Amino acid sequence: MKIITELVKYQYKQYVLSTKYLVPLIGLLAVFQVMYSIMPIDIVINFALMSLILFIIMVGVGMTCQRIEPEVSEQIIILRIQSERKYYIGQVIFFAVLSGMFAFLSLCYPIINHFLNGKMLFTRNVQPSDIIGGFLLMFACSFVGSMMGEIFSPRVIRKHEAGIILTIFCALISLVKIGIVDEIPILKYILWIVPPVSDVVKWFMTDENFQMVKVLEAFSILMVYGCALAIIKVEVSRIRKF
Amino acid sequence: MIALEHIVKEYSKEVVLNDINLTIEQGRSLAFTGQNGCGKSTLLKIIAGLVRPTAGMVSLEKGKLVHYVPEHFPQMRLTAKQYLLYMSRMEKLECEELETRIQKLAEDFFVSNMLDIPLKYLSKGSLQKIGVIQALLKEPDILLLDEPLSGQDVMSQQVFIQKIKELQNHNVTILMSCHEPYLVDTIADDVYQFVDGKIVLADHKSASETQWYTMLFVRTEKTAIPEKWKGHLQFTEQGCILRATEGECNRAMIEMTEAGWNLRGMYNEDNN
Repeated sequence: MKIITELVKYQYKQYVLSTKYLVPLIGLLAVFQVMYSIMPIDIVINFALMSLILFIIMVGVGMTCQRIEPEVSEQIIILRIQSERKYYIGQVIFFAVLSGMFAFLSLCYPIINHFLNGKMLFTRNVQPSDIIGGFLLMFACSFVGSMMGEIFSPRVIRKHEAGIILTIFCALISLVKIGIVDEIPILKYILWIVPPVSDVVKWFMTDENFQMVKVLEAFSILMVYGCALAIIKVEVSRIRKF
Repeated sequence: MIALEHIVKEYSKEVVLNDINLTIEQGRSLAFTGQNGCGKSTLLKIIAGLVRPTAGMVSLEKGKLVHYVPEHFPQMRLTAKQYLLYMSRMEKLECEELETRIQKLAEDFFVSNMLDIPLKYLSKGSLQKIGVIQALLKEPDILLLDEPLSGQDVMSQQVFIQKIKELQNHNVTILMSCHEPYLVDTIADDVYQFVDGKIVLADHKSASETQWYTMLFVRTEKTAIPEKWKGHLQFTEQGCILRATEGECNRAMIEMTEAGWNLRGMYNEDNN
């Protein structure tokens, strides 16, 4: 466990020093400005929409993180810790931590804003279930997004350009899957393979409160997809090597 | 023990390694020589398990710690000290010893004043030294050296050789890809030459008997650089350092003196 903790700390430091967090962070702040310029807004719908936006942002984060660590440095670390699996699992945990941070920020900003504006931002008072439900949904969408951005890394697909195109294609399909299946129902037998981000978020669009059972169901489904993507990335990278 | 059986490696249908068979006993030191792109680095990476061979099998005892000094150490935003500390912690080295060990190695390699500089601002030679230091933080069972001396100054090369000799005394297996005849002579027990994707045991005996000398020259008012010795020179603030074999020494001394350089010292590298 100590090795993985050190790996996550190392990757976090490399990420911070690379300043690659600036673009997604500025993007997120811009979204906040647009989204919270109109008051009042429905808290459940807002958090559900925010989860979708976080998915998109984290796909970008996953893609930009692929090139932070030089290949030679990766090789040195893998030999040092004597396990490729540990190295790649360390990367997955790093993305989980990053997803948690982005979700936390996306949750805190409107809630603080709500209280600073005399509780006028949302149509009703913020309840503990909103905080828990909102965070779980945002975190799960962020995690799936980051794994989606990472899955076609140069370790998995040698041609970087092909990896980028595939990532963007899969992310877009995840977002518009409902519309595609509505038009061509037979495609649901193929499109189950991409994370059901839009489907899950749609469940909450008509709700006034977060129902914990529904939240946990959505969270579990998204995390299963996120973990499946992580396992594919780890195992393919391990098998294909450098 | 490391065993390579019928190793083949192809890149885009081009055969780089062709049916390589080799057994390496623990504690042996092997050098692989050959032209650029002949597959030396690839073979080292296959041995380490970093690259999958197209065919064949590598047997390496489980739990053996392998360290690797790459030919080009990457430029990063971390400072040298931050990088070395992270690398040490990943190997569960004790925190109290860490800073002292890093400081000691940095002093040995003349980079103690560069520890707080981001790696991306270091020169190629200094970066290469950090690459060597990270591999020496903890004693490995197998050390892979890919052109370890590239860009390093003469004094650091001496320190490097001394450190490698210490590892050899501790039964560490050394595998290196190298163009430097001096390093090969000093360190390798066996030398393998790459020929058409295969490795051939080279006649290393006569080469290893070569005596190498280092000569220190200082500048005078009018100095020129003799064409023949250009590739042998390492420039310093006061002058230059020339490395030559025993047979070349007399000629080097005469030609350098004629070109305006004053000889200030000379020593046999094998006695250091």
